[in-house]
Amino acid sequence: MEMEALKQTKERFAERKVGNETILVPLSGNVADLNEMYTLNEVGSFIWEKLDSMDSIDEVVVSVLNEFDVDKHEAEQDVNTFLQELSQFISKHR
Amino acid sequence: MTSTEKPIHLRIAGFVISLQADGAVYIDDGYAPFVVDGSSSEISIAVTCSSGLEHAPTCSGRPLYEASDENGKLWEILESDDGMFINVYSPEAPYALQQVCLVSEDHRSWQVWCNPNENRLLNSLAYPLGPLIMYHLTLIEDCMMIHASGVAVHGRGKIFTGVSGKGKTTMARLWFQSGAEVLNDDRLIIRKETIGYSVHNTPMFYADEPRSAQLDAIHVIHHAKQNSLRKLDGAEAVSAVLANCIQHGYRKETIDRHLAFLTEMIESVPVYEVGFVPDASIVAHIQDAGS
Repeated sequence: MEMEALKQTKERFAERKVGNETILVPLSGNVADLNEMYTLNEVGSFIWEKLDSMDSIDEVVVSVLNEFDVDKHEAEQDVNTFLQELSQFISKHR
Repeated sequence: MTSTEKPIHLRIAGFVISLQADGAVYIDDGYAPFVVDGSSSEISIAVTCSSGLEHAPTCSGRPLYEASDENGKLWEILESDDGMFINVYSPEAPYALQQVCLVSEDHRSWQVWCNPNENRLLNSLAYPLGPLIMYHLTLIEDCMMIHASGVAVHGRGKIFTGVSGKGKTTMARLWFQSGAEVLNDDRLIIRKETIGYSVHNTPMFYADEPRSAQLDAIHVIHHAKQNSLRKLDGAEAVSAVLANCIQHGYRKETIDRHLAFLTEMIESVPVYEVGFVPDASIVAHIQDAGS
């Protein structure tokens, strides 16, 4: 899924930061699906927050690299895994 | 059944819902114990009922939300420029219109149209509208409604929540047998107080007096081969409780509001995941753990 598409799908979730984690509640056709909530860990929450201000996946990787104590390979892996999981989750709640 | 031509005031979880009509109204037995003298009460929701569905406005707006059960549609919210428009259907005669509601934007004023019964009395809260109005308290006041059983020991309340079949009624029975007061075994309101949180029963289809307690803990329960108890924190605690709260989230702001309520609540009310064997040992297990 492209960055622009990911950004647009943010509107389809209610979200709440709880500590370092973020709870996402999908709004499927304006209906909240409480049985399908999704919790983002600290890195996922950071990426979720940054999506609006990023234009490419490379930019997201750099921001993770700057924020967390990880090398470039780990940052790429974290971002790709996150985006893949998020895309699957979003596809499920189209 | 209670009938009167005077306005009726119901105090539910400490919040007052007023009922007025252009004729005599009646309320089902479950609401009668919640009637109070409302002359000096601050009213959270005002319901005004008019006789005759034929006089109700119609709305051609697109459906925003629909609630159904196994028999069919219970109610639907339609997009309207005049506020929120709700068609409520009879649970006994699927798709037969029972009430029409026009609700102000702030959810505090409900104009309801319904047909009188054979005695010319209006039942503006006839199920499922009563619980739906109660649910709207959670959108305007600091409270939430949850599928749960609740018990109180010396005024200190515990909530046991979980989807159907997880043991809510069983747990209430076990605590009752150990001497606790059962607040309710199906639906409760959690309310934020000046200090801490309280738990309250709500009118059911049967008569029961209003009951409440200070909320000490929430237990998310399931049947298990042995008793276990684990404290949940942060997002896990919020998600576990929210998943069992009653809500019709046709608006993002509604869910945001409930998420915010629970995030604040778990700071002072602990949430536990509890696996239990359905006998008296779980009561002791929870009491021994101080939860």
